[in-house]
Amino acid sequence: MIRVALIGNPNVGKSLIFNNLTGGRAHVGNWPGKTVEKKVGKCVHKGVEMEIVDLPGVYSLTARSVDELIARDFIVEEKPDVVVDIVDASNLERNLYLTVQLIELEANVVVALNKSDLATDMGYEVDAGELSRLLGVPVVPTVATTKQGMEELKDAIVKAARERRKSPLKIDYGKRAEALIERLEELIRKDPMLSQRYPTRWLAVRLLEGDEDVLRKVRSSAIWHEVAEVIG
Amino acid sequence: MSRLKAELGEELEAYFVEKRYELIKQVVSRVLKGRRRLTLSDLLDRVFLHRGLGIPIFLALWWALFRFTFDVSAPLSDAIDMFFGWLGDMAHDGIANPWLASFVADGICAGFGSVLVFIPPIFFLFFGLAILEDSGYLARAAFVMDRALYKLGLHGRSFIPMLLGFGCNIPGVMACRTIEREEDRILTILVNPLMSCSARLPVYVLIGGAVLGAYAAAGVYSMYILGIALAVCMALLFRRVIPYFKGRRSVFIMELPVYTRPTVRGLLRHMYERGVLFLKKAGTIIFSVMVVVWFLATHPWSATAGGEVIENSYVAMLGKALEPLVRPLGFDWRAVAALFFGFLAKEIVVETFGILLGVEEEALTSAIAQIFTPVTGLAFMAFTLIYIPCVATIGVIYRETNSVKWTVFAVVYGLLLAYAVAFVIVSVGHALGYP
Amino acid sequence: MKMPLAMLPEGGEAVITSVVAGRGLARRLYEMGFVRGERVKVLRAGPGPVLVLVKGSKVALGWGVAMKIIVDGGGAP
Repeated sequence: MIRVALIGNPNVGKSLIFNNLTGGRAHVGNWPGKTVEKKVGKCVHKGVEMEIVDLPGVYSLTARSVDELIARDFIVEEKPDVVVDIVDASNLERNLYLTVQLIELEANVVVALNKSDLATDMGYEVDAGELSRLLGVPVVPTVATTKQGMEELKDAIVKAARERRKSPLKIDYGKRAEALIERLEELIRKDPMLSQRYPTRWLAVRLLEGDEDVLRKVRSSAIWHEVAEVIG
Repeated sequence: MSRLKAELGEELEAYFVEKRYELIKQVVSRVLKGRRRLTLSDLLDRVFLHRGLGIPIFLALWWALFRFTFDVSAPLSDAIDMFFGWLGDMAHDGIANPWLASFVADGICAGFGSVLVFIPPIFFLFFGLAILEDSGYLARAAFVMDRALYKLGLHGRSFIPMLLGFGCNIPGVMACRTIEREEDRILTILVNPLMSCSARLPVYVLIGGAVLGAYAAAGVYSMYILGIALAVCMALLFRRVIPYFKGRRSVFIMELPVYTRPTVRGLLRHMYERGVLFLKKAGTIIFSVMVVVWFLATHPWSATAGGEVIENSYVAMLGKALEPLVRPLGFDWRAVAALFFGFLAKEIVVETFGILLGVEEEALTSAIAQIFTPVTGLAFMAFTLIYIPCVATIGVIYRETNSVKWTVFAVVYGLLLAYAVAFVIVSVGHALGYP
Repeated sequence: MKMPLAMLPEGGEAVITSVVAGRGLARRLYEMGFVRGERVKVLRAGPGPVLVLVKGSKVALGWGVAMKIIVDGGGAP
């Protein structure tokens, strides 16, 4: 059984896609200890069984708000087989911020490029193929309201689960930052507790950014002292 | 300090975000063609966000929503009410053992009935709300109303739930979900029950009509105003006094999504999800409590002659025991009993008085005038407004806050506030020379 | 000429130069697209909440928030 997580900005049509995939049969509850709704559904596609978890709509994975924390923790701790990032084609730039963060988190991302009809209305034209090439992840155009692209999306999910490719996309943070990132990565690799649980580059960047949740996680590790020296 | 931090200082956060956007901009420039042009969405916003018309349009839509919901659902609710009443009668006639008959009819059937009677209004209200929400309009409404609400200690997003509360606190509390920060969400949930729901209206009409004479309408109206005023005060008070709420308020950053045509599938789904959720959690509580109340109202069995003589029941005993507490407010044991039943569903207060006073509907008004004075009557109305949310609402509050602590708090502060306000009304009234 | 976004007139466009806010809020604004060098357009000006067009989407900002975004402004429509 493949474990799939759905994520995306608020208002991108995530609920609709969730319903399209799960046929409306979903178990609704709360995330443990929180007032945020949790939806889990099942889908069977060409003999493959998928469990689909609907993560809260978020603009980023900085883990400051409850929603972001829930989403990020799920991806980092539960390590779903595939993360479907639903991107609003009519609002590409901002939506891709989350996509880029997911790629940095080394999640197995499949992008559902939704609302293509809306983009066209607005005068835009999006080259899904080129987007896929540049991001290094599969991009499936969808129009959730008319269920267009659902079959292709399910195909892509199954394929992604099988292939488990990691996107080669890497953001260049500039010479000085990259040097610090490399030093931090060396340190992180020395601590198996951290390096086995989290992607090293992601952790290093987060440490430099001053991500509170990450700082807390690393503070209790053996390498903290050295790390603190590097990040200052 | 790392050279990076030293160099960038405060701009450290922005630095990483900017780098990501730099890459994204490059990607987008190669992938996206065309320029944003004026869409239907923009034109709609010219209307809905219009400086002068924005608020009136919102209020008009709101009114339409209410009318739609309550007019369409009322016949259905009545039908359900009648059905369970009929079922109850059948049980009475069909079951030989009077105790069992009472249990089935007045305990179980009434219990089920009281839960199911909420379904039509809840479903229709959520259907209407889903239309406003899925289309993207609700974000505009929050934008338009945010200005006013911010000063009152509430969030722009609190407006919708508060307004819903005037129809029924249950969807009001449930609508608080759209508020981002948990602290703000809980605060709005706590003050929501002060919005006078439609179930309380019969109580105001009865008491007001009986004792306020020419000022009856003003008295009823004042309850709504009182509710709003108290909600605002409590919101401000809680923010100042309770540490949990003290933190920085949710900042108002909200995306206004493009208007979309909601799909019928999506709407029905929203409606269904919320309705079913309500049934499950709130429904269980309501049902169980109704059974307990049935028990208390009809026992000791022989003393009450099978529930006929309520004066001898546990409820009456409870009422009489608590009477000293409420005597300063001018209430008697019947009022306590009625309030107790009002805990189930505020409409029941009226019926309870009828039973306890042993009179039919027509004579009820004059009977009420005998146990209340204008001042104590007004105090009772205020007490009904404030004291505790009905069981169904409590069930929903529990469901939405996921916390026993806050649910208990909601109940307790309601009782205390109700008592305090009623006391003030009575004291001021007496001081001004009214009986 | 630098000024807070809140002071831009309706229809005005400007480029963001900085965000003067605490960590949490600043982060949030950046992620919504309010980064240095980004062009914004005011669709509905204050007083009260401000509606701007940024990175192709409409975002409403409370007055206080809009005061914390410094832009280099000017073009009237």
